[in-house]
Amino acid sequence: MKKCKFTNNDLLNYCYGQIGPKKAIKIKDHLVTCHQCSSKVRAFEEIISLAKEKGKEKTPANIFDNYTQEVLDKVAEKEKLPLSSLAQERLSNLAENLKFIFSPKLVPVAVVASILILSFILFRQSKVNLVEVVNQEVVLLEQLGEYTEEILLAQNGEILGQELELTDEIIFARLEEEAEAEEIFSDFQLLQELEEYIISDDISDDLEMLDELELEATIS
Amino acid sequence: MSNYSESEIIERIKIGDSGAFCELVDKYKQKALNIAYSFCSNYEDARDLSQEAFIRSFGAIKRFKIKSKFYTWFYRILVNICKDYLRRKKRSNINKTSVYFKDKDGSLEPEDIFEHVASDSPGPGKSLLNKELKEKLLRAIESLPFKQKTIFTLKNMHGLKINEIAEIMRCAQGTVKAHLFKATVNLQNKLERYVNIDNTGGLR
Repeated sequence: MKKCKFTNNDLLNYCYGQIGPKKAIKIKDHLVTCHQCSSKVRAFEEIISLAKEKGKEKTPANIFDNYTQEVLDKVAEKEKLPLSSLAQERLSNLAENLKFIFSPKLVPVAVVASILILSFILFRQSKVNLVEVVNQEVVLLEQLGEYTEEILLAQNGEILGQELELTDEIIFARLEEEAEAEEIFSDFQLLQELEEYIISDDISDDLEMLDELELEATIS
Repeated sequence: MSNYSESEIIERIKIGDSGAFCELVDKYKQKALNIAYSFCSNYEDARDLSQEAFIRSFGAIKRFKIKSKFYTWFYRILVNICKDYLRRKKRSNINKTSVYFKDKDGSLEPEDIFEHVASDSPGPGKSLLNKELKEKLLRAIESLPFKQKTIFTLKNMHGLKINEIAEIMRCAQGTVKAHLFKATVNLQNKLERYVNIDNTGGLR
């Protein structure tokens, strides 16, 4: 069977006047040629008009006798009621509702629901436990990492200390060497000066002066 | 009836003027009774339910804001009262399961809803005009799920607009339309034998 381009919703929108004028014209034209859609629209319209007629039906003549006064009396009665009795009324309503909840027919449903809830809680609990274990392991690993780092640092420190000591020794040795070298150098300089002094004329003058002084001493 | 506007009447009720409240009751009692009747199909119960709605609205009128329309606010109270009534009724009906069965969309439907109608109905289309079929429609409406029933009756039996129904039901207008269409199709399916539809072209 050939399918129509208009859906039930289009036809219902048309029946309820919830459609734009352009589409309404299109549907109207379509209904002239499509027996299937036109019979659907007729059926919907019949239901709607029937409901409208039903809504317009007159109520029994005496239905409103004393209606408003009764409402006022009930309002006054309710206002006079102490709060506790209003609460009691509400409680009795609640109890009536609860009666249905606790009816024996609902016991199997309640049991199945409890089992489902319990298994869900257990499943969730096991999931939570697993997460806790993993977290603990992560913490342990972190602690281990920190510890390893500390050890490495300590070891490095020791090595550094040793190296520093060694460096100090080397430095001291070098300093000593340098000091020695300086002493040698100054001695060497003195020697050089002495040599120069010996080579120079000064020493002969000095020797002559010494000879003269010796002579004077022997004479005196 | 006084010359006061509705908002003035409400303001007077708020300061404790019972005469003003009488005016409001007189104005809306017919509509309220009709709406309640479409839920309970029983004038005695409809009278009680509509009165209960007025009593509750009097108690809560201090919370009513003048900005919104009184009748949508009042109808919401009434619809909620009818909903409670149907819930209580459904519970008592569950205990009498021999009289009822569940139809395909889970709602309760009286077994004898279409009993003996097919044999003596005078013909499709025309038959809908008779009183008996109007009663059948009412009973078919009763068997609809609550939202579909409420929206269908408010729209078609009480002439409310889609936006007003949306306000009463506190839902989107699109949702109202979806429920309205579903209700119409469901009713058409339930009354298939009596409304004018081609047997070869069933509803999609």
